[in-house]
Amino acid sequence: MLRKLAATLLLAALAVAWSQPAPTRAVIAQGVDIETMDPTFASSTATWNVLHHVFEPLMLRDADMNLQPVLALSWESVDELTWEFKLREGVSFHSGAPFNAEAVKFTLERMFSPNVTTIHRAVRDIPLDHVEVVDDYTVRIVTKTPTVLMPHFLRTVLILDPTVYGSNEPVIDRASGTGPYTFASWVRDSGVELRANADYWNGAPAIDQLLFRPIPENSTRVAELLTGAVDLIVNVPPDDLPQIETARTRSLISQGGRDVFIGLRADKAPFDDVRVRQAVNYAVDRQAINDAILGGYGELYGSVVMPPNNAPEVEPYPYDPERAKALLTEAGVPRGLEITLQTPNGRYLKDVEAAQAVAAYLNQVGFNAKVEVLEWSVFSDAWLNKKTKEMFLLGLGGWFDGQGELTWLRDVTSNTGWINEEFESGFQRLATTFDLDERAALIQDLDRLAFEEAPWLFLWRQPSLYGASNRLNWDPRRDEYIFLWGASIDQ
Amino acid sequence: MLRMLVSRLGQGVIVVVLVTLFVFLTTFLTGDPAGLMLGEGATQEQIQAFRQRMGFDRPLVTQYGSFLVRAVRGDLGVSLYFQQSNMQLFAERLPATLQLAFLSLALGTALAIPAGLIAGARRNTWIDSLVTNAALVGQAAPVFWVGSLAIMVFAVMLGWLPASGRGTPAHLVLPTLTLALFPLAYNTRLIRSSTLEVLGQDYVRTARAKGLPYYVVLFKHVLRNAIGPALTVIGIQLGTFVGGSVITETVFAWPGVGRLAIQAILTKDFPLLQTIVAFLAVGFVLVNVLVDVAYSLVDPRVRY
Repeated sequence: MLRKLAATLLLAALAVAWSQPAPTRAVIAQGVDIETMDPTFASSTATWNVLHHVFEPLMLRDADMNLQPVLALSWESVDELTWEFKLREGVSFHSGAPFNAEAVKFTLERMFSPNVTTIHRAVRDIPLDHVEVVDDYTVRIVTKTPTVLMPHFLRTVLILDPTVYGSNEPVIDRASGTGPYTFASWVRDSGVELRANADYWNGAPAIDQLLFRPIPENSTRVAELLTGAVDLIVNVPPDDLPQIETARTRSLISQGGRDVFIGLRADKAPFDDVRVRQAVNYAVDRQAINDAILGGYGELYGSVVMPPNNAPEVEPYPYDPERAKALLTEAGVPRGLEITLQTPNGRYLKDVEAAQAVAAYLNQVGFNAKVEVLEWSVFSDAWLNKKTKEMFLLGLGGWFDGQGELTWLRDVTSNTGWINEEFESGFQRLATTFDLDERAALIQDLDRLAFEEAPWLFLWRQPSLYGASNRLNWDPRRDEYIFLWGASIDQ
Repeated sequence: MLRMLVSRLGQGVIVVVLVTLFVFLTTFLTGDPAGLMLGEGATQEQIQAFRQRMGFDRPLVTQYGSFLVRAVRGDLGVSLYFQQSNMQLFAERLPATLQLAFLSLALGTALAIPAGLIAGARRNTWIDSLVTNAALVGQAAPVFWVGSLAIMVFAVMLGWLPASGRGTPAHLVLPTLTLALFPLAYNTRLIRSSTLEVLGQDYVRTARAKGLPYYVVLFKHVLRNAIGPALTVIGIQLGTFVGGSVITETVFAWPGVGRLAIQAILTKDFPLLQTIVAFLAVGFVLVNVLVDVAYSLVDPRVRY
């Protein structure tokens, strides 16, 4: 009798287990672990990739890099110093607490508190004065100076649950946002586990579980993809791409959102002469270098501003060594002039190889160019303190609004010593212009001016190279982020 | 003995202070962390403001002094990058490192002792040249290469073992074998040469002359005397391994102290780096004291 009962129970249990499909799971391998689970203190892309699944901003860029509403439904600038946001109703945090204007105010005030030490971008970008709660679902952000790009700045401000983040200390052992995934666990340097949020306001995501693992070594990430232990890997070295074209795995490439360039020190000879800056742009066969070291995956550019805001007619400088030589002769640059090109090692895709190739092309038009390879912290210090030699290789990324990219050209950001009055006054005007049409025209004018003035030797937009299992249905983005709530995985 | 311990520990304190000072100065020689932390795209004004807020603009002596004062009170501060307690960050990663260090050193040594002893005892035979050459190759092979090769063969091609990470006993196999290779090779050669030295001693001849079986002579008389020099080296190896085997930990994505240290160096997170270095220096000093104690246990002639 008992045996029969036990057998029946076992069968019943098996039937229940059989009828429930196993949860779907995707494992993502990044190069580094997250530094925190608390958005107020986050700074690296690896961390943002994880946090965006658990927390949400007021607005976010879509695949075409246009801002789309998330927790905010709409926004407008009320006056030069005030932005007003209408918020989404009926959204709850994972703890059950409601999302409302108070939560937005709380999030910004915690981030800007003098008792909080954070390197969060928004803290340095937004000149915050105060936040006003108009009603439960309307909030106003008042700034000290006009902040035209406020919506763009706010896309990195992930809204916190005031019932969980009451202290100024980082909260890392739990998390409560409004996002499509909830936090399950974080084992340092081993990985972060997330679970699908069945109650997500925009519908539960297709993949039930996500594990973000840090695997620092490139070849190990590739190996883990090939063994099937991992479904998505970042930063695949271009040479390894053919290896991951298998029956079970594939490579994914997205056009980059990072302008890789060689900064020309316009505050010293010979690059204080615009003809010399143009000459080096004509002297280098970018396409050949791109083909040889990046497998052709880099995207050449002449326009620093990313699409869709760029001046469309601006094409990359063509390879024309004769014209380069003529310009150098005209500028009176002596043959065999020694110049040094400094580059970090491994900060950007194939940075050292790129610098060496560029130097070789410069030598063909009469320079005596040397490459100096520096460890990133040493390079960074020289660069920030303007102690670089005549040329340095760098990559800047993260902006897709036009103004952000133009900031990179300015001496205060890229430290090239290039200060052009026309550009500076145009930029100041742009920074205080709210009218969208006027802004678009201004951005294109400045984009053209920068091309003519050539404060950089423009190289390419760094591609993002991924490896993915064929089970995973996901498309890479231009801004290097990995968002998986729209992705799915085949069983 | 007690006097030796007290004096060694006293020296240890001085070592730790000097090491942290050295690390502090070298970290700051290449500039402060403000620019690195804010990354590309921050303006000079923003960096300057951050520098002031974090106190990086204070004189180096003041900065180091305040670190030291707090450290003595048991407060090792907060990591600049993680914004978490340095102690906690270090403690979270120590078990993984210790596990790997002890296992691989134990494995390497356990195999090195018989290998070295046999090679020494069978000098100039095929077995000796096999062991010596294998040891030479093992010592010369870069850990990075061995690790990557092991992953390709055992994880990707054969699918027997996981390629990286920590969790199950299977995860331990590849990193332990990779890390064990160096102490195995090095200690084998060391024990072989000290075996040769001991074999030529009078007391070995006496032992054999009085009719003791060869294996008794080898394992009782020779081994005990040959292992002395190896002890010092094993102690140093343990000290080094406890510091995190940076390359092995990186190749196998092992969540240990070595990776944390690398990250602290790359981000110039000096409070974290100081903490790691201080603990490792303490560990190194303690291991050395233990080696001295062990010495007196194996060799009765050594007395403190």
